[in-house]
Amino acid sequence: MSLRSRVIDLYKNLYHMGKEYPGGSKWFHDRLKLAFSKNKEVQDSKQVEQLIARGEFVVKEIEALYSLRKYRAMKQRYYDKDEEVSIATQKFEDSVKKL
Amino acid sequence: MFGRQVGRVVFRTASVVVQRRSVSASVPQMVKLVAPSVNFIQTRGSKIEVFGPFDPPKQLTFKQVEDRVLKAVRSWDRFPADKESLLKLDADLSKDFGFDSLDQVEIVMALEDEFGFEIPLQDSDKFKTIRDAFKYICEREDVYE
Repeated sequence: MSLRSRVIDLYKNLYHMGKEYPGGSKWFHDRLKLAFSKNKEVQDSKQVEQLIARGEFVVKEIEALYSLRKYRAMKQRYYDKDEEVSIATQKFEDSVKKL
Repeated sequence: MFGRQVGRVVFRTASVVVQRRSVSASVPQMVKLVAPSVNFIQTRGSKIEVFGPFDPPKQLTFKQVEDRVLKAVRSWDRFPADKESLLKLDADLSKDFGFDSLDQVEIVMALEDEFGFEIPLQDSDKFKTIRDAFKYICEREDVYE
């Protein structure tokens, strides 16, 4: 698979995962477009590989965020104390925003 | 005489046989009745009508495909609202709207969500106008009228 198709597959993956982002899909899609546009001049294949790896890391982070959100919702239906889960969720959201 | 009596007994009913037996016990019992057979007609499994709340796939028309394509492009979340009057089938994606390749990827994803099938990358790269996408979808869905 060529690098261009891998980049576009990554973009499609991230776009699809951002449709239900807690900060709003519009915000996520705008940031996604901006992040990809900033790197559109990169020609070195090694650097493109590094950027693709970073994008795949972001995909895994968002998957973890959604899993944690689902776990938090299920836990709230059974228990009342969720301070630790809120702290972990906030930590994940902060780490995703820093990327 | 004895042979004739035996021949008559064969075509008689059971009660007559019993009477004859009671009259003369020396007559041998030679008559047996055959039970009638019951015929069952069983329906084959392939004939069972399949029912359910789903609809069979309808044949699309050019007008329906055009309306759905334009609706999908218009409802894309980053579509410029001031250029909605330019939205026609013959509109060029890069010249009229200023879309780059990533915007085109997003529009193709919107069309995929609208029509429910996946468009491969080597096919979506050839889309220059909305009519190219329209023709691709008509060919994919066998639209001919």
